Amino acid sequence: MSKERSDFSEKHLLRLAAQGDKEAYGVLYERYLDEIYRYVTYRVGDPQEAEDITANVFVRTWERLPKMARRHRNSSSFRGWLYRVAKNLVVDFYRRREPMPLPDGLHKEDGLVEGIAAQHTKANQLVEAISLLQSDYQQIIILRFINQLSHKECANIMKRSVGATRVLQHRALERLREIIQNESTEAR
Amino acid sequence: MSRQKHARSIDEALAECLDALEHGESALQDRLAQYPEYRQQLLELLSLRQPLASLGQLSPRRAFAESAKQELMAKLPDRSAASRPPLSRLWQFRLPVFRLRAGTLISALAILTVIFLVTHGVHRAASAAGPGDLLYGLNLKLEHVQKLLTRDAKAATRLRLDLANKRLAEVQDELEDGDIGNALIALQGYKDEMAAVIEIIYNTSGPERYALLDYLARTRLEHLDILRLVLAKVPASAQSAVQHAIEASGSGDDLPISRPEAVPSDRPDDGEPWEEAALPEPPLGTPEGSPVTGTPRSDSPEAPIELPAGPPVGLPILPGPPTDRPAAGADAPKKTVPTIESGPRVATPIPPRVPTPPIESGPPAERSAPPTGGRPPEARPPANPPGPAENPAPPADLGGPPEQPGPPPDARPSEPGPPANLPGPPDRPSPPGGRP
Repeated sequence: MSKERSDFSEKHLLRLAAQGDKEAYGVLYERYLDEIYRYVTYRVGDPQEAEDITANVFVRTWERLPKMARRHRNSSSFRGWLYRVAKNLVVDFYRRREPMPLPDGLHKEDGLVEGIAAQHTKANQLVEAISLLQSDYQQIIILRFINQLSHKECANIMKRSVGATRVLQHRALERLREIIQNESTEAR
Repeated sequence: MSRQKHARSIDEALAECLDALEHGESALQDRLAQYPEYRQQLLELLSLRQPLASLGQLSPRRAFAESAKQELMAKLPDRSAASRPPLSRLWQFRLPVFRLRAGTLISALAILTVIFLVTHGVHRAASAAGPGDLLYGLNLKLEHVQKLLTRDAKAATRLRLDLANKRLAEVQDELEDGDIGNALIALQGYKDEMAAVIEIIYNTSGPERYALLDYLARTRLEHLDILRLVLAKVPASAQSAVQHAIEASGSGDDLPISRPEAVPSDRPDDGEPWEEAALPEPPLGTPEGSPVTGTPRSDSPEAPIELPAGPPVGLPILPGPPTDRPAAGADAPKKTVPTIESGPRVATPIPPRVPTPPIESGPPAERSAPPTGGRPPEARPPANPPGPAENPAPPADLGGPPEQPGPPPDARPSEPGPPANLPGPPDRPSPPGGRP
C-alpha cells in the first residue's frame, strides 16, 4: 500500500492527505524531510532544535492541510508552504532565544560537518559564516545553494520577485565571501 | 545611477553564470567572456557555490530519520472524515449527481431563499399599496403580469373580479382617508376590470358563458351595495363617476354586457340594440303569449321550479349561444347551468336573491316580474337566427309567474322584449358596445 502511494503524484498525495490519509502524508513527509531539516538546521544551528522544529513543521502542515490543499492545488506551492512554515517556526525559535552561532556539538555529535570539511577544508568556516548572515541572506543561501531550489521557488517561498531573489543572491554571496575572508584574515 | 546599473548587471551576470555552470565549464567560460569587467568578482563568488552545495549533504540523524515518521504519525491529530465536525463533513460532501459540494448547494439555496424573501416582501408590500402609494404602480404592473398569464376564461373572470373587488376596497379606504382623487383612481380601475370581465364573457359561448354570467351576477350584487355606499359618501362632483361605475357593474337594466366593438359580425343590421335583436327565440312549443323563460309554466308538466337555464338574474342574454343545442319545449330535458366553481349543476333552485335589488334606471315595464333567470339556451332552435317575429312574448327571464303578463304590447310588439334589466327599450340610445 505504502509502495503504491509512493508512486502517486504529489497532487494526488496531497488530496489524499487532505482527506485524512496519514499514509499519503507519510510519503510527502519522506520526500521533504531532508531539505526541511537542512533548512532548519542551518538556520538555527542546533540539531536537536532542528529536529523538533522539523517535526513541528510537518505537524502544523498536517493540521492546516485541508484548507491549504484547496488554496494551493499544485505541489510546488506545497513545497513552498513547507518552507514558509519552517521559516515561521525558526522565527519563533529565535524569539524565544538569542541567535547563536552553530554550536560545536553539531560537528562532534554527528560528524556531518567533519565529513563535509573533509571534502572542503572551509566547510566548518562556511557553516559558521552562514550563521552570521542576516536572515534574508541565510534563507537565500540555504534555499538556492544548499537545497538548490530554483529562483522561482525561492521567490515563492520568500514572497519576492525573481529579480529580487537574484539581487538578494548576489548580495548574500558577497556578504558570505566577506565574512569568510575576514575570518581567514583574523585566523592568520 | 551607474552604480545601480552596475549592481543590476552583476546580479544578472552572476545568475547567468550560475545557470551556465550547471551546463558545464565551457558554458561558464562563454558566459564569463561576456562580462570581462566582472570576471574576477564573479569567479570569487562562484567559488562559493561548490562548498555551499556540499553542505546539502547534511541529513537528519539516522535515528531521527527512522523514528520521526512513526512518531509523527502517532502525533498527528486524527483528521479522518468521521472525526470532523458534522457541519464540516456536510459542507465538504460531494453530491454524486451534480458533482457539487454540498456547501456550494447550500450557499446557492441560501442566496435563492434571500432573493425569494426579498421578492416576496416587495410583492406583499406592493399588493398592500393603494393609489398614491409609492408601490402602487408596481402593484398594477404585477397585476398586469397576472392577467397576461391567465388565459383560461374562467380563471381570467375570477381574477378580474377579484381585482375589481380590490379596487372597490381601495375606493372605500381612500374615501375613509378623505382622498377623493385617489378614490377616483381606484374607481377607474374598477371600471376597467369590469369592462374586461364583460369582454371576456362575451368571447365565451355555450354553458361556460352562462356559468360566467352567473358568477358575475352574484359578484356584482355585492359591488352594487358597495357602490351605493360610495355614492352616498362622495361629494357631488364625484358622483357622476360613481354612477358610471354602477353602470359598469351592470346595474339594473343597463348592464353593459354587450358586444365589444371589435366583434361586429353578429350584430344585426337593423340598427337595433344587438342585445335585443339577439334574444333567443322562444322555445319550441311554448304557448304563444307565455313568457319565454327557463322556468316552465306552472301548468306545464314540468311545473316544479327548476334551474334558470339562461343567464342569471339581472344579466342580459348575450348573443351567439351555441346553435347545436336541442330545441327546448315542454318535454325538453332540463339543462344544467355550470357554475364557475363546480362545473355543471343540476336542478339549481331559484336563487334566493329574487327579486333583483331595486335599480334606479330602466323602465318599470322591464322589471314587471321577479327575475328567475334567463331564457333557457335550449329554447333556441338549432341553426336558427334569432327571429323577433317568432317571439312575441316579452322576455320571461324575469321569472315571474306564468300568468304574469309580459311587457306592454306597445313597448315593442314585433320584437322579443328584452329580459328584465337588459337594455331593453328599443329607443334606448345606448350603443351595443356601450360600456360606460
